[in-house]
Amino acid sequence: MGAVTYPDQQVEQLIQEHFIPVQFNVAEQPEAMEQFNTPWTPTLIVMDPDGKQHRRSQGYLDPQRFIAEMSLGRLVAPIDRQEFDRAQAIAGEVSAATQGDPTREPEALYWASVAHYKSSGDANNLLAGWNRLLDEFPESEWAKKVSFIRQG
Amino acid sequence: MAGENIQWRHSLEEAQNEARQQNKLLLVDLFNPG
Repeated sequence: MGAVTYPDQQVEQLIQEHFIPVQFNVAEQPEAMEQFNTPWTPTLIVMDPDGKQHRRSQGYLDPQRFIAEMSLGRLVAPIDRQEFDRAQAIAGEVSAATQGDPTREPEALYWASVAHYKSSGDANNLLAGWNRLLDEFPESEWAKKVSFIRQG
Repeated sequence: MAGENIQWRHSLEEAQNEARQQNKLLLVDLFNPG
């Protein structure tokens, strides 16, 4: 991460704009592994100031995947807090940031659809997004989660 | 180390206070340089 991902300008910009970054070298602070309940590095966690974790990733991420992963963290954090208007406001930006990531792009669409529905109260917004998910990413795990909408 | 332009904090408590003040999320990175 330190050699390739963090020097990337877009990665740096994303962190600067949206996060307070805190880093633990587990060779010097092995207790951090227990504190954050992880057996492996690198581990990346997106969390609230009060300690609630919203997203966790273990293993190396290249710049594109890092940006997609952290952007998803930005989206699911307000959803977890049921701040759906706030999530909806950044959904387009997050979708763009996940574009081309075969795992995270459909996940972003899933959650963006939830945010749209919950912020508008209109279930058609959920169905529209989930139908797009089924059409554009039919093999994704996230499409499987919504496949029931076309059954029966 | 590379990525030196990112201003990493090393105290969770201080980072939490800063995140609270700036209304931002925390990004926690656990790494092993070895």
